[in-house]
Parts: sequence; structure tokens; C-alpha cells
Amino acid sequence: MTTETKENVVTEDHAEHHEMGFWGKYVFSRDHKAIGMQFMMTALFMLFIGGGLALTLRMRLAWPEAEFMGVDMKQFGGETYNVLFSMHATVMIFFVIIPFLVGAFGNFVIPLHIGARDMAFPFLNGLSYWIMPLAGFVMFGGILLEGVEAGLKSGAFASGGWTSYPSLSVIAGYGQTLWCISLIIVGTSSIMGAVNYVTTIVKMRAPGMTFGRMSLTVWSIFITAILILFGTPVLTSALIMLILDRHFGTTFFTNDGQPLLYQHLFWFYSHPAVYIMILPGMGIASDIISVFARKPIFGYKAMAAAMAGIAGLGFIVWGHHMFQSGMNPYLGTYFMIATMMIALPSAVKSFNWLGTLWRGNIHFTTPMLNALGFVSMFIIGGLSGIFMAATTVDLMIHDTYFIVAHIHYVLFGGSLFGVFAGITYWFPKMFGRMFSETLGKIHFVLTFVGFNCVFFPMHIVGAAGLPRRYAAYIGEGASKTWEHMQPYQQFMTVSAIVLGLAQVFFLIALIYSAIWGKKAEKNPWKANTLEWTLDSPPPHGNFHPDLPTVYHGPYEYNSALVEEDYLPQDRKLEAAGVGGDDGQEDAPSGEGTA
Amino acid sequence: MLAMALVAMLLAAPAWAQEKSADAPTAAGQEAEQPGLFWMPDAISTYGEGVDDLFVLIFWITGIAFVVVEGLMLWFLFRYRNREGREKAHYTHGNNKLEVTWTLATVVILVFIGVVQLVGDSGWLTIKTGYPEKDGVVQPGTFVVRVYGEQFAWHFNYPGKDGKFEDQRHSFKSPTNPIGLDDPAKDKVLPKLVVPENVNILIELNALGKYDANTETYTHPVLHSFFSPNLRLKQDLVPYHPGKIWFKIKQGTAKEGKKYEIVCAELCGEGHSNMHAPFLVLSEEDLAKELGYDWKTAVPAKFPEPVHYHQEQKEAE
Ligand SMILES: [Cu+2]
Ligand SMILES: [Cu+2]
Repeated sequence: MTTETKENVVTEDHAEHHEMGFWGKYVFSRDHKAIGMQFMMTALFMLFIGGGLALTLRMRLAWPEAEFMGVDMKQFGGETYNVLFSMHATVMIFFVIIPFLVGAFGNFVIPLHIGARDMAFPFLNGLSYWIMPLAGFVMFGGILLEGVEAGLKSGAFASGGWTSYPSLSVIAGYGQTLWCISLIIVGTSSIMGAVNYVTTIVKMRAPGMTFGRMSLTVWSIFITAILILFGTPVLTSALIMLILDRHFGTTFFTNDGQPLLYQHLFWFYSHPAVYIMILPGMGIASDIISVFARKPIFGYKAMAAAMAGIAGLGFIVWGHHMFQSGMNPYLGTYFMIATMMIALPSAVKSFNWLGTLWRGNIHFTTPMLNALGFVSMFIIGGLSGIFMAATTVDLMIHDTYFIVAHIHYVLFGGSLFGVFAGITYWFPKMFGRMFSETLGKIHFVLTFVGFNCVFFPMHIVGAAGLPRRYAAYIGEGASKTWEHMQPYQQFMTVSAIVLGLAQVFFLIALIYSAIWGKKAEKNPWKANTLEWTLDSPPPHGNFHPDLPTVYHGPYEYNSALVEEDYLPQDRKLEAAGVGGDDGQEDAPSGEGTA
Repeated sequence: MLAMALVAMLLAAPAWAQEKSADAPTAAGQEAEQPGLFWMPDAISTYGEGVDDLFVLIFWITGIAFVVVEGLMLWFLFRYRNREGREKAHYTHGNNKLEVTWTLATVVILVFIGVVQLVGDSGWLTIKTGYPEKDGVVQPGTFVVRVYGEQFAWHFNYPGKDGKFEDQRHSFKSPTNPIGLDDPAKDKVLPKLVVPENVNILIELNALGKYDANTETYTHPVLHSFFSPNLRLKQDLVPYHPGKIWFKIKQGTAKEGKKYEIVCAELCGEGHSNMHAPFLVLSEEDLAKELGYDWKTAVPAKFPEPVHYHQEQKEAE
């Protein structure tokens, strides 16, 4: 493999289109870095849309019958409320988290980390980005056609939750069809990206870049891409069946059909999707923790194996979303045990992060704080998952705020902190300037505290059985069982406003740093991976004139072989002999041509 | 060190919250329930407390794991922070023995948590498959109810004096006959669930489609979920596929005279949050008054085979 790689690298292609106009360079670019940044900017924009939806529904929950500055909270009840949370989840999952972690970091980091000049299929890569806005337009087509108010009345928006279970989704308004088509487009974009990532990683690694010397970020995205390739077609088929049921008279999910079939198909994709949304975060956090603890990652092979284990097990546990759905209880027993097993690789990863910190030399930079935020919040999310994996305990907390707390600890506390860590870490490579440490730290503290104040109390109300997807828990027509818990709702809402403002602050900090930030040198973090041998930002085609040759694993910090506390992957050591032998006992080297 | 303060706050949160919710019911009126352990409402089913015990068990296991792991992390962050005199990190790629140890320990704990879900009177299979029914025949002395959930109401169908459930057809529906019973006078249909204590209760769950007799238009039934936090029981109503649940109310619940609720826990449309019904545990006398007959002399042997709208249409042809 190592010798082969050199020939597979596209060189000519890139030397040619150096002369590009504004459109070619910034808009319809085929450069993986530009495409990555496009994904990032789009996801950032959508983050504020999803966040705005979240704040609206939080306001409604805290004061369902009040009026603020002329806005009557009553109007956000009923169907409107269902639209709000359906769109919040859809936007955050499909237009924020996945584009951030897979689209932005996948594109930006993979070629730089493996020492390639670009992705294997640059055009396909550009296309995978450009069909995302199309998906967005389809999703929100109702607004464009009818305006918000009329659209809400005529069913122009999906309101069946991000899960869109039939039969509700079969009888819902036309927005449900738009939703299905939009997600099919998003899925197609994911598949295009995934094909590209897998091919690039398998075929285009620089000489000496064995699988055993790949960074965990690359490993994580590699595994994520495989998950996407196996999972997404199943979701697509479920969505197509749903469209057929809605418009073409089939009865896959109604009449003599099986409503649970949709749930099985949906979760067959959507459980792995949770890992699609967390694995890249794990990879990014691993890299950052190793850099700023100035220490090799603890158990590199175990870390990569744990991610592969999560991916494999991820496909046989989907039924844990269906314990109370009417699925055979014996099948539920199996899914419980399988799900308990999937907690194992997650636990192994957490222990290994701890091991990496142990006896390190820890620098509290902004990326490091966010990576640590990721780890500590992911631990809570992982532990709370055990409650729901336990079938009997799930009787009480299924479909309550307990699951809402759990998923937000994983996807916000986990994935989104991973995103913040990634942005602030690669910011110098992206913009050529440093992300302001002061502003970054303020953002981290506000977000960390705000996040916990919003989502931790959800465990408490969830344990009391508070059902999710309710438009109000007090007032006219509402259930009386949880009235006494209204102060929690208000506390969570006030915290959510702080959390929202913190993200506005992040946007300001990002713009400020991109324009007035300190100029970044090549390797500001003194990190080992290949992107830090390049200018900030790296030129089109990345590596000039020759591809780098890799001699070491990515985590050689404080190695005894060199004076400095880091050892770039492409630095050849005289004493270490030929062909990339690191001379470490259990160093991740040599297994090569995996 | 802010992180440390935050963790302390998180740990203190439950205690603070418990204090808070303890005074809350007085403000919310008599109907609100005294929250029990971990803010949970009273457990009134025979298996409810067992379910809570399992929750508490996992709470302690995960709680200890949380404190140990996050505590170690904070300690490492403090102890190994970069500072004057600390310019080197310890160079190691890991420790296989340690990896194997913590992996095995985690497996043992997780399997333990999984297995305890299954055993005993509050075990998963007892709750979900231990129906007071054998080969489709209801055991004598069982209180039997047929529940219909539609957008957005609950209907509770009791068998009536004849101890037999009427057949149900969408075309029979009318304002006075909301679920479309063959002969509504022979059954009892209430908008609330009333049950006796200390006997097995068997409920059939049906999702009911919308039928407009004037226009003869029909809308598919949608998913709902029968949820009573006090029973610690939840079960979805699956369109076209009737489901079953069973429970038994603890002795002494009736005389407390509290009002409980059945709520819907699966998104079913715009009225989802308002889809709840009163749920009362009554003494035998009060129950006879509500139902208009003595249920013990009228226990149906089985539920009739359901006929769905599309089958109804075929029948009509
Ligand atoms: Cu899952
Ligand atoms: Cu409902």
C-alpha cells in the first residue's frame, strides 16, 4: 500500500487550475478546504435558525399564556408547537451537526491529515455541498410559497417530529412530503461525501502514512463514512415508502401493513446516525487532548477499535428506541443487552481520555477546554443512556424529558463542544489568524454553564415522567400531573436565553478573530500532524512541490528521541533508522498495510 | 476551578430540587401529587416500587461512576496542569493490562444492570407479558377494560352487565356512540378510567381512526401511548394492531381518594398535549356506582376480534 499510494495521488489535476476567478475559488470551488469552510458557514447559519426555534419553544413552555413585547405565547401552542420542535430537531441534526462534523471537518481535515492534495473526487465533493442548500429550500419551501402564517395553517411544514412516525406522517399536510424529499437529498449528499472520504482515505495516503499512523480524527471520519454508507440507504427507502403511502395508495405502514416497520427502518439508520454525529467529535477531541496534554493518546489501538466497535454494534441495537412501541418484549430483552454492550466502547474511550490526561503537561487553551467539555458532557450523556437502555426503567422515562436531556448531553454537550473545539483548533489553518483566546474562553464558560443549567434539570423532570413534545404543562386544557414543576421550566428557559446569547458571542468572536486576530504561524500549537507543516492557510493543492513522507505516528509528544516535546509526522530522524521505524515498543507503527 | 464549582452545583441540584418540589404542591392545589423519591409521583401499581428500585440502583451505579470519572478528570487537570517546573509529560502509549481490566469491569457491571431488569415481580417480562390471561381466555376475577385512543381523546369501554364487549364499527359512530359500538346500551363507555384495587386489571389498547358519518370519510388512526406515571407503565397504541397491558393496584390506594391521570406519551397531532383522562382507583361500592353494575359478575372471557375500517369496507361489499 505504501508504495502504491504515491502513484495514486492526483498531481497534474491541481497544478492546472491555479488560475481561478472569484467564483471558482470561493463559490463553486473543488478545493476540499473551501468546501469544508462552506459546510462550516452553512452549518453555523443553520445553528442560529435551529437555536431560534429552540428558544421560541422554550419561551412557550415557561410562560404558555403570557405575552412578551406584543408576542402572544398562546400562538405557539398546538400544531405550531409541533412544527417548532420538529424543525428544531431536523435542522440541528441534518443541517447543523452532520454538516459541521462530517461535511466541514471531514472535508477540511482528511486530505491535510493523510497528506493528500485533495479529495479523490473533487467535483463530487463540490456537488455534495451544493445539494445541501437545495435540500434546505425544499424543507422550507412552504415559507417561500405561502409565508409563515398561511403555511402553518395549510400544513406546509412537517410537524410529526424528526422521527415522523406513521400514521400521523401519512395523514399530515404536504410539508411532510417536502420533509421526506429534503431528507432524501441530504442523505444523497451524505453518501457522496462518504464515498469520497472512504476512497480518499484508502487510496490517497502519503508515503509512510499507514493506517496505524492515521490520526484518530481521520479514523473517526473513516468509520463514520462507512456508517453513512450502510445506514443512509435504509432511511431513504423508509422515506420513499412513506411518500408512496401518502400519495400513491400503498399501505406499507397502514391498514394491513405494519406501522412498526417504519420505526424499525427509521431507527436502523437513526441509531447509527447518533454515532455519525458523535464519532467525529470523539476523534477531534482525542487529537486535541493529546496535543494539549503534550502526551501520546492513551491506547491508540483501543481508541480506534472502540470506534469500530461502536460502529459495528451500532447496527444491532436500534430496537432500544422501541421498547414501549408494541415490539415483542423478548426482542426488547435482546436489544437491551446489545445496548448495554455498546456502552462498553464508549466507556473504554472515556477511560482512555482520562489516561491521556494522566501525567500530562496540560495547557488550557480554548480548543482544549472545549474538548474537555466534550469529554465531561459525553460522560454524563453516556451514563444517562444506561437508564433508558434498561427496559424496565424505560417504562417510566421513555418519551419523557429524560431522553431529551440524554440526547442533548450527547449532541450538544458532546457533538457541539466537539465542533467548538474543532473550529478553534483549526481556526489558524482556516483563516490564517488565531482565534482570540480571551473571547474563546468567555464563550466556553458561558456555554458550559448555560448548557448544564438548561439540560441538567431535564433529567429531574424526566424522572418524574414529564412527557416530551407537549406544548404546555400548565394552563387551560393541560394535564395537571406536572403543574408543580413549572419553576423548572422557567429556570431552563432563562438559562436557554443565556446559552443562546453565548452563541451570538461566539459568532462575534469568530468574525473578530478572522479579521483582527493575531497572525498565525505554521504550527502555533506545536502539533505533529501534517497540516501544521503547511502555511496558514495552506495553498491550493496543499503539499508543494512533493508530497510529504511520514515517519511517525501522530501522537509522538514528549518522545525521548527529540529535544522538543513534539515530533512532526514527516520529520526524519537520523538515529531512528530507515523507513519510519519509530523505535517505540507499543507505538502505533509498522502494522502498515492493514 | 470553575468546573469544580459547577460539578458541585450539579451534585447539589437534586437536593435543592427536592426541597423545592416539596413545598410546591401546596401552591398547586390539592390535586397535585406529593412527589415521592426522586421527584417521582406516587407508585400505585404493585410493580411500581420495583421499577423505582431499579431506577435508584442505576442511579447509584452511574452516580458513583460519574463522581469517580469526572473527579479523576478534574484532579488530573489540576495536578498535571502546565506550570512552572512542569515542562514535560510522561511518555506512554498506554497500558494493556489496565485496558483489559477496566473493559472487563465495565462489562460485568453493564450485564448486571441488564439482567436485574428481567427478574422478579417487577421484571420486564412480568410487566410486559404476564397478562392475567391464558390462551386468549381471561382469568376469572380480572377487571377488564377496552381502551380506545383517538385524536385527541381517550375512551374507556367497560363490558357492561352482560359481561361481553360489543363489536365495534366505524360506521356506527355518532356523537352519543363515540367508538361505534354495535349496541351502545349494552356496554359502558366513560371518558375516564375507573378501576378497583388489589385485582388484576387487563386492558386492550386500540388506536381509533376518525370517521365522519356525514361525508363517509375516514382518516387513519395514529399512534398514541397509554402512560400513567403512577403505574410506571407505558405502552403505545399501534394503529391496526391492538395491544395489551396489565397491572394491579396496591391495596389501600382507593381510600386515599387521589385523582390520577392517563396521558398520551406519543406524538399524535396538534391536540397531543391535551390528550389526558382522569384515572381513579375506587372502592367496590364506588366502582359499582360509576359503572352501574357489579363488575365481578360480568367478567368477559375474551376480547372480540377487532374489525378495521378497510375490513369493514370489504364486509360491506
Ligand atoms: Cu439509539
Ligand atoms: Cu398523543
